[in-house]
Amino acid sequence: MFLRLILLFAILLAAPFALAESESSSIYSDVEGSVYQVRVINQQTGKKTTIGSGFVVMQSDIIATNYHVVSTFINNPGEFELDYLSTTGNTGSLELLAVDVIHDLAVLRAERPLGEPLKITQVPPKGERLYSLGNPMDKGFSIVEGTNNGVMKYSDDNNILFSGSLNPGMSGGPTLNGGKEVVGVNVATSGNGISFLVPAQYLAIMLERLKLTGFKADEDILLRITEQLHGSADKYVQHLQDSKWTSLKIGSFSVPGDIEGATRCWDNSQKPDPDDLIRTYYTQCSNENSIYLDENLEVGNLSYEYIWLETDKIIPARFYRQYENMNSSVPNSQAGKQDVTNFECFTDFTPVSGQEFKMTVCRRDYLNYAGLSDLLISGALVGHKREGMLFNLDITGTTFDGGMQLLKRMLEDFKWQK
Amino acid sequence: MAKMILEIQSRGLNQYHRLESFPVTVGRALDNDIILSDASVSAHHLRLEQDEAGQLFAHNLSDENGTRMNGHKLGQQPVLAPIPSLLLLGNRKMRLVSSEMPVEMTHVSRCSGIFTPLCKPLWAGLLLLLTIVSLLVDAYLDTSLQKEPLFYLSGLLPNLLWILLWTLLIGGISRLVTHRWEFVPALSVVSLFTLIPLILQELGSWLDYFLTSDRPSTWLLVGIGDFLLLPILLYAYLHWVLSQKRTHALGIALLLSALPLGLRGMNMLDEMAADSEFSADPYYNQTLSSLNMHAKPALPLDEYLKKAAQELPPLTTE
Repeated sequence: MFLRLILLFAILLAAPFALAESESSSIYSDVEGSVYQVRVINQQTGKKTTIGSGFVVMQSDIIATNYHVVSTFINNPGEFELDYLSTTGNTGSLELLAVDVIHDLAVLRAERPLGEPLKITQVPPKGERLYSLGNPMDKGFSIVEGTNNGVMKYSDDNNILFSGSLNPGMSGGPTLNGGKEVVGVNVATSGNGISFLVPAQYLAIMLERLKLTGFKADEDILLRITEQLHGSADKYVQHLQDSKWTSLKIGSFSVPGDIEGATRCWDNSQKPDPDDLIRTYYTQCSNENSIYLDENLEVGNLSYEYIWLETDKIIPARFYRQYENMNSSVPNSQAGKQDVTNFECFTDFTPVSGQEFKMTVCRRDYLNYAGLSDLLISGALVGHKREGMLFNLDITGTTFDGGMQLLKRMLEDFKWQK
Repeated sequence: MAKMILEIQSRGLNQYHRLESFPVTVGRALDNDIILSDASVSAHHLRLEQDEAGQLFAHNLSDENGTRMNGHKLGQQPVLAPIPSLLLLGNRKMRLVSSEMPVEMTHVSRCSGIFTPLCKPLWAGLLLLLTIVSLLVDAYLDTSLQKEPLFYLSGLLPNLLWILLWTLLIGGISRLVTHRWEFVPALSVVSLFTLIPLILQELGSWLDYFLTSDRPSTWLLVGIGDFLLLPILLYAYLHWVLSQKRTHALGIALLLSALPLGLRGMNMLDEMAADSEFSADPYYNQTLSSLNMHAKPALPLDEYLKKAAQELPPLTTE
């Protein structure tokens, strides 16, 4: 009985494995000439600092990859150069034509024809087999097989969830359907076979736009990125405003909870301890969206949290000491001195749903992306002897006005229910 | 004619010798008229002589450490000694004075009025009790979990030991200087040194919330607590308890405070340097108060948002 079970397993496993291998080997040999390694080279040392993958698309001298593969080149003008490496070992330099930071795409041009351009197609139905190509960890060109799991609902970048193991270095490589057409561009992984692809339509839009200008390189990439971030930030705030807002209850307040299609909330309350004098309830909400700009610099995050504190065991003075200790707020962003100004804050008292809050709005601006700010808002319910609530809102890479609109909308959705 | 007196200075109480028949010999040997058991004084060190006119002469006999009069080194010849004169025999100071010289004012204890708590055992005890209660209340308010009384007691003990240690130290120094222990005032001063920062902290935190600014507590805690408190308490102790003259008291207080204040000053410079650097964290007034008293009235939400936008202008790039 036991023996048969193992045998069955072996057969079940072996059959699709063998089949897939034969299909992926034919795909690999067919498109091998259109897949390249894209490298960022330090001009001083002549050595590569970042590697990714890329593929020939639309024209034989046009290569597509991820923005994040070439971000070092863009963010350090004059220090780096771009080049490619083919599966056969040929190299040559590349010119950056355009980027789409929102969808993490970049288009480059080689000095000479590189191979047969791959065709772009729609996202196939969920469950279809897909084949991802690239050069993982600089170990050599590889093909990875996986399944399409559809476009993600809760993420504004609308990436495709790909159940296959992408590895660093494969970024920018193509993911193909069985017909050798590009469905997506490899972009990220969270390990254990959970990987993400940028839908290839976004690349198609970029290429169409480039075609109109005769594939002329963007003159001011940084300005273009700033425009893209602006447009995306405003669109995002509008998208949030138009989405369906659910509410959640925390203590005596009903407050904005999940914003459908944008943010999700999780309970982070600590498990009660018999020695606790204060009960705290903690709910944290965030989007799962981020736009990569540079090493340690991502924008587009939205997160908000509510902490409710109450006690019937201790005097107000003691309760408020603990409450005060919890009243602090730090940004999620890793942005540093080279990216942003220091925070400037404004603190005052204001009623929200008839209850007084000590509310602080902090703002810092991006140095390289004019008009873009991080907003950190922190409010503390005051005027109740044994109850408190902290509300923190953290928005990165937004426009100040957009962020304030969002704050207003959120605060207007607070309802005191007692 | 006024009688001559030789004052031999020693810490605490000086010795006085009436000079009636001359010559008077001073030295360490036991056949002198005035015997000084000071190792820096020669066996036969000085002879004081008087001429017919009643003038006094100092005759240095020591070729070892010698004698200085009013700052001048004496040779082997008798030198006219004015009254009063300051003499230095080896390392031992003495004065030649007239018995008619006016005496200094009697020191009247100044431990009265608002300084009563510094000197009276009952008041000092109450002050210590108040300090202990304040420390306990502070620890109680700061603790977020249910704790046994022993927990608070064990937290209090190190503080009590510090108070005791400093009291002993200050008392010991007083004993060396004045031959009195002065425990009660020392205990009061140390209690105040512990209690006042606690009060300043509480007051500062209330003011911070009232004014929605971190400045009051910074000024109270750093300005007064860290920089003024130590010299003020030292001055008070030196002047009112140890009866030092104002300028003396001030000088000693500043001298003793110099090291801790200097270290604190260096620390503050470091903090200021760090403050002017880039910080990823926002800096705003985070105080909360159960009394909820604040000077600025609450703004309606719309006005609040408008004002926030005004107060936080965009980055201006040149």
